[in-house]
Amino acid sequence: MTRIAEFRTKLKQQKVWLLMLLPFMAHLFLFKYTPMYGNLIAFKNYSFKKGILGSPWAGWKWFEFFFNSPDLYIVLRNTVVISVLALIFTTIASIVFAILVCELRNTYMKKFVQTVSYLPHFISWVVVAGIAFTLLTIDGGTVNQLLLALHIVDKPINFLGDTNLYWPLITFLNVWKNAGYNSILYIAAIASIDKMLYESAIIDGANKWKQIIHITLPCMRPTIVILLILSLGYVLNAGLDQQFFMGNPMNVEHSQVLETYIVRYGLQQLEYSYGTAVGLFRSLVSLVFVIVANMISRKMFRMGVF
Amino acid sequence: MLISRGEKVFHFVNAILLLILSFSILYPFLHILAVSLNDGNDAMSRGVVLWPRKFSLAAYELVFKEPLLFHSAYVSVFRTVVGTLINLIGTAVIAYVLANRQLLFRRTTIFLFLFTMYFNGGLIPEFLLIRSLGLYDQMAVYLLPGLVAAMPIMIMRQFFEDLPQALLESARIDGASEFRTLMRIVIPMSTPVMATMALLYAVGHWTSWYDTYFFTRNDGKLATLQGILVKILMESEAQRMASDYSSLMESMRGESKPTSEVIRMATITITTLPVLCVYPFLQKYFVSGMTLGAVKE
Repeated sequence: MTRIAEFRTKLKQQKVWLLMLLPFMAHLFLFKYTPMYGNLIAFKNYSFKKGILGSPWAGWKWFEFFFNSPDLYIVLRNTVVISVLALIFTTIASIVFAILVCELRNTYMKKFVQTVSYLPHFISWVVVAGIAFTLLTIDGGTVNQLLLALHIVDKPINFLGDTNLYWPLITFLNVWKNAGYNSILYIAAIASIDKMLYESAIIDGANKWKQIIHITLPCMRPTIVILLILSLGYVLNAGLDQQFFMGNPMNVEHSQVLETYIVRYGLQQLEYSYGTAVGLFRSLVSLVFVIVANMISRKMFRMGVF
Repeated sequence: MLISRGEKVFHFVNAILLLILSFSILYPFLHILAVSLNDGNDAMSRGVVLWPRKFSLAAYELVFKEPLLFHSAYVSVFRTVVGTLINLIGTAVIAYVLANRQLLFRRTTIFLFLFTMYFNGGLIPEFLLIRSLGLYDQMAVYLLPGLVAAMPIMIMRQFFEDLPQALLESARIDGASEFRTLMRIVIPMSTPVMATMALLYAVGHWTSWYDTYFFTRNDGKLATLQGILVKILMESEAQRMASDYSSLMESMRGESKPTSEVIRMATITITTLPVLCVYPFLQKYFVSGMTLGAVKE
């Protein structure tokens, strides 16, 4: 059969499938791809009345503005620092937690500890912020009260307002929220290690510490490295959620990230074109990072997300 | 097997350590609960640690009487239930069709879906689109744009591909329509993956505040519990609620009125409680879901 005839037959056979898919493809184009086209306004002086097509062109003006802005350095720095800190510490915490949990011998305790560890993952950052506000507040928050009672400090620490404490604070919250859930993968990796390795190590006289260093960790290495590399692809995504709620005028120097910058200037101050330009910049660079991270991962391990 | 003393110590310390850790994760929630059940004025002077100092259900009474909170709870539940249902059906249909290897344009279609996971329009173009479609501040804005998500589609598709093709073949030979095959055979055979995705979507809906905050006016009509929480945290909404309630309950002298702090805690509690109660029972689903969809070779 000729190619076209083959195509025609297939089309006829798969009519129902393609029809089933059609509304969803329409939906995809409307809600996911049209906004991509909407990024065009990053190159225009967008005005709501004139619409996307009617607004005058502005060339690279907004991008130039962004790159010459005094905020650029701070915003980029914060975004990268917060992401990297969260990544490093969450990974370490997840690994340590996974190893310790796998060492628990009582199954009930193991189940209990694991279940509790997933808990923070399921609550939104709004709630986390609410909890943080209550516990860390400078006047009478439980944490400060505890520190005072134990004489670790002689006056309460302003966790929420001190800009220099912001990065440690947000890293802690990130670890608290995600380490437990992320440890699932590491626990699975540990569970798949051949038990014989441990047995022969014990026969050779290795103690618990040596076992962990020489068996557990090396066997986890591929998993750890892949996850690290792939996560690095998302380094510019220093979550809107966290910074939006934990950031305030007092710590803005360390809490302003690309996304909050976009919300503030692009949306709240109605600079639609500018906000879109910054957003486009972020999305494109992010995409490049993810692709590169994936390429590296594929090269090293023949594994990737796509 | 002989266990050295050192090892025994390790196991003991390990267990204690992990228990302390577990407690420190649970503690914030216990604290919130305690404060929410505390008397309003007493809570203002702080210092409540684990148990309410002066027990009072005033905050929860307000929650049930304050129209904004009550209504937002309804909106949250509605969007979670209806939204998840719509999500599941949509995802199942797409995954089912894409699972057929002979499908025309299959690779392109899959790519089109996957691409949206790594690049999207961004907040502002999305906002402008919602506005121009007239979806701003409509219930549909919770249900329509997020109809399906790329990752669940891929996970479900993977699962469907692994189902025995022979079963589907014989169904079609017997004259079953595609919908029938999907509904009667494929879906009943896929309960684990359906449950996992249902959980994913449901949690997404329940904890979503982004669309409420940016795509609705976040007031009486469409505010969700999360949306109200945002208002309470970022604006002095709790203050407003407290004073409204006070003037409403003017007649009830002697009865201690809830203050903004306990209202905040009570709202956090009712927002978090459903999730806390549900997730332990669905552990096996999200654990397997995580290992399923994480990394492919």
